[in-house]
Amino acid sequence: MEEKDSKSVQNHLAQITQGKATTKKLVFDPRTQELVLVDAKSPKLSPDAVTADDPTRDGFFAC
Amino acid sequence: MGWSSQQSARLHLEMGILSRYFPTFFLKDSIIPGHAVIEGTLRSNAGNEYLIRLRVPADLPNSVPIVEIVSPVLRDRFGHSLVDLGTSYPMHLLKPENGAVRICHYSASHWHPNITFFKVLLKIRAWIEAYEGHLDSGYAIDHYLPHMEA
Repeated sequence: MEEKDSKSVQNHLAQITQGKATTKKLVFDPRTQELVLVDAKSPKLSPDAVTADDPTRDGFFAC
Repeated sequence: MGWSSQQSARLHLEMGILSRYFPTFFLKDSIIPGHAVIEGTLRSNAGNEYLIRLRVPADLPNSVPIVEIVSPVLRDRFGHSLVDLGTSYPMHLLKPENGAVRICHYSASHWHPNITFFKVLLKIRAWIEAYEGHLDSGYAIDHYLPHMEA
């Protein structure tokens, strides 16, 4: 099941930042331009959808 | 002096990727290296739109591109302009110039010529979601987006 409400996406980002394990993965759907949470083991939303977790996990420059 | 043939090919490649994933982004002032910018709109899941400007480095692809949020004027939850915050570690901001917020996305030491503008904009897309989380919760953006390891 997919989730794309802002609160769920933001909670997912916070969980990743805190190093917590999640059962969801965050993908970017270029058709809708939305960030969407999907079950980690499920197929992606669409062939064009890309994982957004990895760039997020990379972190942001500590300026 | 213009772009080298390799740089022109790289710009073409970058715009090809963006046309697929972020189709509102287009290249402006592309003739002179150091002046080229890529602009477009990113829309949050809540439906708010942000005009983004990516400055294409003159030494493409060897330097980190500057990314600015041109509009709207961004304020924190407490009403302070993000521009007035200056460089901000918890909000992932670089020192602003010309009144535009600059997002701190990659450090020079973490940059690699293989990193595409698409990946940079995907990080900015996540920053926007985190920014809206900050507006809602009051937590700094680094509550939602981690810092790069040194």
